[in-house]
Amino acid sequence: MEPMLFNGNMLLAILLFSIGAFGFLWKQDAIGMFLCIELMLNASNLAFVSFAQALGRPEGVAAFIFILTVAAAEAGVGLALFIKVFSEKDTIETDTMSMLHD
Amino acid sequence: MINLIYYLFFALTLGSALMVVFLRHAVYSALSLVVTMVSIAGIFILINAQLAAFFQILVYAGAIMVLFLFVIMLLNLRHSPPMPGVTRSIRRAGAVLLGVLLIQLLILGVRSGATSMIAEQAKAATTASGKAPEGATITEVALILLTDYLYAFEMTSVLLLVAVIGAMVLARRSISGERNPNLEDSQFIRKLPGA
Repeated sequence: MEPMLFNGNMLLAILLFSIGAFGFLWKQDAIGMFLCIELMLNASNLAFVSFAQALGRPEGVAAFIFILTVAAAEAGVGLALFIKVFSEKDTIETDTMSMLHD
Repeated sequence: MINLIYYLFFALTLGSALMVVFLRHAVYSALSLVVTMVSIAGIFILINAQLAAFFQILVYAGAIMVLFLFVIMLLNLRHSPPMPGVTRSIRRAGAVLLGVLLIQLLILGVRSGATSMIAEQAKAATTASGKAPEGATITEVALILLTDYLYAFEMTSVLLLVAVIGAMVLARRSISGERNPNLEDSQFIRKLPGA
């Protein structure tokens, strides 16, 4: 891989991760926050694969596959939880989920 | 030419990532995330990581995002009234502050840490062999998954099994509505004609 592309990928991963963290705080609904978590996972995937390609070693791609699996499992369980919360509260705004707080 | 396509994907990724955050409607957010993932797959192809690109499109843009869209459409979300102005502005100011600080911190970390070492190592390998490293092939990835990372690999299959069972247990009763008296008031029942 060209060194120029490696630096560009690092910058892109940094920006994507920051946008994801920023959006996680910005969003009010649980699904939007979840989408931002996926954004952060994608940024780390990009960094891992860039390292693997820059060094010509397969470990980074293996880490990519593990992250992919964890993201899939997380999406399945998380979305099932949202369906559950929605059937109880009729909304998934995170500010309404204050049962432990009250 | 390669550079031009790379910049195109770079801009597309950043733009659609910002749209994920700033679009109000959940369906549009999710569709912009699909665009982000596909353009990241394009970048993977450009840096010669075809395996990662195919997984990115098949699993992320294909499977995970379809799951998201199904759930968003199933829930039939409405816009609820926004929360009180002061709380929201404080939270949003905090989000902007944290985002900017995080960019600074990550750039600092990448400049000073092991990343620059990796970049130098890659540059040295490029000058030594006369061309850039080819990157990992699918054979090497398969080999390392089934030798060095065998236990982690098997653990991910257990993780997927747990996730499947957990998702079924969590979502089951709320849809079938057998033992949940609260469901009488919820949208699932109300929407049925004649119910």
